[in-house]
Amino acid sequence: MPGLGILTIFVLVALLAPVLAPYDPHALSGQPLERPSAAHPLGTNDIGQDILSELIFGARISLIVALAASMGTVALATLIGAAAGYLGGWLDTALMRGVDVLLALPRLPLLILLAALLGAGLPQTIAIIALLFWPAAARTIRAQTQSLRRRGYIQMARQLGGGTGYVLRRHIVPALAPLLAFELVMAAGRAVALEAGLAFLGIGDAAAKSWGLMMRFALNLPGLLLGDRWLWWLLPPAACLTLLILTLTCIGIGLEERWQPRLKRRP
Amino acid sequence: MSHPNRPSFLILIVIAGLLAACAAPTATPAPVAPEAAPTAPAAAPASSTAAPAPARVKALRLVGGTDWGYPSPFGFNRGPGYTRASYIFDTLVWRDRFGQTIPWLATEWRVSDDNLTWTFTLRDGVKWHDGKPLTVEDVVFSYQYFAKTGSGWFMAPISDVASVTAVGERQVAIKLKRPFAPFLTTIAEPVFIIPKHIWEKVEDPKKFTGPEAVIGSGPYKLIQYSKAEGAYLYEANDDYFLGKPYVQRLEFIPVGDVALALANRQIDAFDKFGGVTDEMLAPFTKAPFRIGKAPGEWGMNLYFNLSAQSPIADVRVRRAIAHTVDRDALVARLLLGFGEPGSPGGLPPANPFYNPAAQTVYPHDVAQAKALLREADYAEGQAVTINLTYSTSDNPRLVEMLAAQLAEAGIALKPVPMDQAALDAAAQAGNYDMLLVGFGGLGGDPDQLRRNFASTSKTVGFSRARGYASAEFDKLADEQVSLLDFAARKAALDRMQMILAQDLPALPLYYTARVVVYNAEVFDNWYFTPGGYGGGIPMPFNKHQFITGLETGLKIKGAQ
Repeated sequence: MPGLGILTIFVLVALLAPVLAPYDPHALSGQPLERPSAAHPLGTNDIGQDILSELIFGARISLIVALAASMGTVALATLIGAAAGYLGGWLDTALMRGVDVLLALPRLPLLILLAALLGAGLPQTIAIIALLFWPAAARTIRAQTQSLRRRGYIQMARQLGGGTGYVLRRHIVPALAPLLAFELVMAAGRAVALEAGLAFLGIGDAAAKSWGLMMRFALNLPGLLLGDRWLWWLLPPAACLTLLILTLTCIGIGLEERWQPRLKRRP
Repeated sequence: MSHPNRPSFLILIVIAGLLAACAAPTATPAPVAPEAAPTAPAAAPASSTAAPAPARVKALRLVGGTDWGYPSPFGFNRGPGYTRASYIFDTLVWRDRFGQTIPWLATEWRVSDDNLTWTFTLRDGVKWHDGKPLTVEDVVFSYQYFAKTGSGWFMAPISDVASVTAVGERQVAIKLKRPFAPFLTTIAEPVFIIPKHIWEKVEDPKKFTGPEAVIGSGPYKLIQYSKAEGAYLYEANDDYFLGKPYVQRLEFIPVGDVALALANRQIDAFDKFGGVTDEMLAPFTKAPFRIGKAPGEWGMNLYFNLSAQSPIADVRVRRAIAHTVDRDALVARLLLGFGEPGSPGGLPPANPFYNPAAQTVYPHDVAQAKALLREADYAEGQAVTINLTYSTSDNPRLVEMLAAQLAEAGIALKPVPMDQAALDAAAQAGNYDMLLVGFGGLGGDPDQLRRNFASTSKTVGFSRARGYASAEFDKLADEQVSLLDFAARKAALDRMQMILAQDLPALPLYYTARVVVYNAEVFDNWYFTPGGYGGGIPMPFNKHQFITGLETGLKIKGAQ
């Protein structure tokens, strides 16, 4: 899949950021608002930090958030979705009504409220995203678990004395794997967008080097779009964000075809 | 078969963009029912002096988007809020393009030989917006009401007023407790005259926000106020005592990028304090645009709470901080060179009482700072950690740069972010160790040093220092206010600035130079008032220019 190739490049850039970046992204390595030059291929920002270095280190934040927030989302969703789907009964009803309530809440105000309560910082951002996104995934996982539960081999395992924990661990979760992989990748894409959105709104650590914050500071410059400065200050982080989200979405769609074979185009 | 949540991130980005437009001046302009673009006087080329005087300006669209409170005499916040109230309420005297005091509700005034009693003669035929006449009783009531109820804005100077009495039908005598050099500019100019028949019934003026609370005698009437959008719409009061105002409608509307909005003719002017470059102004160097500039009268300060239990209670630590903070670098990077470094004396170069000797007390010298910290018993390498309270609406780069600079001397900052209203409240209550607080008025009367730093001062407000007491400073501060001779007063204030620089109850970081960029086809009489209007407000929104369309005098442009 080409998506995986692009994602690998992003991961490599993030891992090798200290080697690839020409400067420490926090260092005042030039004068403010320098235009692109050999020393600063994408110029410098409003206080004289190297934009290319910011861009390279920005990949770290986006990918850390993508990884951590999507794993958090899927872990929470699996725990609750599988428990509800497998055990059924009053627990199922209670959990799913809870999910309904959470899904019905408007997201953005909730997000801003959570951000205000938890404070600024990367761990908080990750926690907020995971807390916000698990209910939708939990519902899909529950439905899939319910259908798995009725399958012959699961029924057999239970009648032969397999306990709840054993069956969930040994049979349900492995059978859910393609779905979980899909949910993981989709959650990662959403997490990247949400982190950028939060940073753009100024919620979060203002000193962090993330693509969303780069865009925020660029757009804070009056008349940015009247000149050509947006070409090397606003466009690169926006393009990186778009490409990363698009890549994750494409990978997700590819995985969805595996999870639901009937989506596959017939030859 | 698509996943129900797949498009949500796109929606989120769009919502985020819209929200950002409301939250901060960043992105997409949010449309708020502005009037159709005012028709520019096509017949009047900007350079021609022989052209016929243009008709009145139908509407002037200005940058809004921030809530400065309800524009009643008690509902507003800070200088921009005072400005919005000043369009509705008048004062005894006002100030013109040249910083000269001009008659306003009072046509003339004189001071007694002992410099204690000021007698103002009230203008004839002034009416409130509800049609009732404005009388001397209203003036007497206003001064007494402000003294009684208090307002952060007026409280300090008004406490020097001993009594206000009517003298006959048209005169008011204001008696002071002591000769007060800045009486005209810090009391008579900013104190709003409010209608007695409305306010005498009001117990809690801050909570009185009905339509009656914005009945004034001023040149404009409030038509619409939106707290959420930070929008203010005014229409001219055609019965105004000076005649029909030259600008017929004032609109403060939320916009995204102010420069883009002006270039696209969505607004007619914007102003900016610091952070301006030639490149940014380049699109506005040709007609119909014009640019006006002025030096800094607004400053960002690092306040030290001397009554708090923290390392900064030790003056050596404060001096170490002053040596470590590179104020020139802050000007170069945060203001893009458009401004000046702060003076530890507390007054900017734009103030006539500025003492340049105070400016150079703390050269950037990290070695000196480390020596001072060792002297204060902080071993080399020992971390000194100090809480720093700052406003999230100020430039976040400032905290980033301060933290990096102070780290060089081994001083670590623990940031405590707050929104502006919470910060102003914390500053007023003294709930901080170190505080970043910005305010204007620095070009105005230097009595501000007494009000903010003398332990005898009764001022409450976010610019008031905490826990600082110097007997010599207090004595000079109380003397200078009664010195009517400029040279004598300047000598006292020079010394006061040196004391502040030595004791460092606050470290001024920088002063923002100011620019106003405008479409001269719509309105061409923009100016900055030297020393500020209304007691020191440094913005280019003096109502005098909107009423008269001229730089001075009380005649209205084009009126017969």
